[in-house]
Amino acid sequence: MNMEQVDQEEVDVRVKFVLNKYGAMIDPSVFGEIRRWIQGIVFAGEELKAVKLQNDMVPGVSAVPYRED
Amino acid sequence: MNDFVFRPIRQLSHMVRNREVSSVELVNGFIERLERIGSEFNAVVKITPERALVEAQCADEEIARGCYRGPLHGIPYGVKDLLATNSIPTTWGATPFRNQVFDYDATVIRNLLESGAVLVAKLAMVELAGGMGYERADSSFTGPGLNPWDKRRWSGGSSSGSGASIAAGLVPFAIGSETWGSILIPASFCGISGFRPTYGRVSRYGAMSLSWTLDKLGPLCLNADDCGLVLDAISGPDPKDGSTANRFYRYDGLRERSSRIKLAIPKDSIAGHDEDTQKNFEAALDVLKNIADIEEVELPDYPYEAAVTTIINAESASAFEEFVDEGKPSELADRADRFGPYARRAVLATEYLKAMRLRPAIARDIDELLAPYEAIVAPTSGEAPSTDDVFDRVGRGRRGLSAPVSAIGNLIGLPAITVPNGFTRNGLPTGIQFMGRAYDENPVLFVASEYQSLTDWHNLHPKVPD
Repeated sequence: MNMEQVDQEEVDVRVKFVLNKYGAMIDPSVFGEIRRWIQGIVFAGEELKAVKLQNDMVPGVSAVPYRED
Repeated sequence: MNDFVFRPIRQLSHMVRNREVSSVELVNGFIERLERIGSEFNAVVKITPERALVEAQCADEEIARGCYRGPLHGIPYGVKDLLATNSIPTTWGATPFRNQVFDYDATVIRNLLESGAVLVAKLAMVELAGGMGYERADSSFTGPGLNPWDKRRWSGGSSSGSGASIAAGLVPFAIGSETWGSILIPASFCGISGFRPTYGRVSRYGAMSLSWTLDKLGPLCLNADDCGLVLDAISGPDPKDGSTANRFYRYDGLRERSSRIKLAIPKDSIAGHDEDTQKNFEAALDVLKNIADIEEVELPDYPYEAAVTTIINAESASAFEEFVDEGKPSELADRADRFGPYARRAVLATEYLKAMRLRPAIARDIDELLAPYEAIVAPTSGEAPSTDDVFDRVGRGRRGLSAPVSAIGNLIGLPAITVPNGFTRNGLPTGIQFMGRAYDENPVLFVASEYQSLTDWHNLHPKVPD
């Protein structure tokens, strides 16, 4: 898969989310670049999704219980 | 002063211990140099003479009493300005944080104080350690880090000032940080030695957090041996940083080689790299073949770069959530830094967690692959500092960063060192990296020291003012 094959509907949804939340803070002239960045984020997500993991493969960093005695 | 500049720590410490030179003389000499030529490279944020002289006088008094703390006692150093220093501004290289002052020292600085080292300067860096996605060399309020080998080129990032300061002889050693390439790339660009310890080996307490499962602190020095001496002082468990490993580290120094070294080289490791980088890497392999057996290995097929990118995006979005929500990115120097942080909010939790779930599997597979070897060897960067106009678009070794070894090493926290291995036709340094198994800092340092015992690249220095 390459960047151009990324699901554009998924990109559209995420761009809309970001611009709804932060659009007023961003210069409209860079909206196109934001879209390209988000396309890269979706692309990376697709690459990760393509790797199949077993159910019990969990993150290496886990919560550390804390107790102050 | 020339007697002190470009001398490795081991030599300087011998002079200090034997009282051929005092710590105060060293500190005054390096401070004078920092003041006089530090700005030529945009390498320095703040010189700390008051604190330094107190620490240096203390060191001299202790040494005179016969209380010698070790090889860093009385030796001046600088730190990347993302480490908290009590009552001295800590700017993170970014305009919005220029007046930020902490009331404590980072653990690394406390450890160095315990070792008797003397803090003389806070060093320049790419704003927020490059974590917002910068695309230009001048992405810092101190301006672009300029390379002492050619001031028209970048010194690399994000530990720009740490790299340039060692190369220009402004301090004997410096501390930098690496999330993905920020120690190894500037060290390579500046023709010095830079070491990234195993994740968790060095406490990050008091360091700016960009991506807490990737951030590491490490030394930049004149040679691999110096990196070991500094790592010995700064490593160790720290209850204030829950990520620190409960393993003590001791540098085993310059030991004799008892057998041939075994090195691995990834298949296609120089594909796509620039011609000079390839040539110098192949020449370095020829040197290494005198002392090492080198075997080609095939790296397991994982989306390393996608995993690192996703983790940095997600963790930096969280670490700087308030900063972003308040619209502060607009105050940053780099154009991309002013919109990149918003785009990062588009990472899904499932994507971040998938990257995190992949890490243990990758760590096991890579450890199995590395087990028969002292280190895996690869070019540090795919390219030297760009010959294009560096201030329009950074030549930050993207191809090198894209190479799997850099992504793997940072993703699963493996130790690696870069040492200089030659120059391009334009007179810019290139580097070779050695990366080892988790907690195998000593074998990595040993291989690099052995390489440096056979070469002279690390003894060459740029023509900078005396």
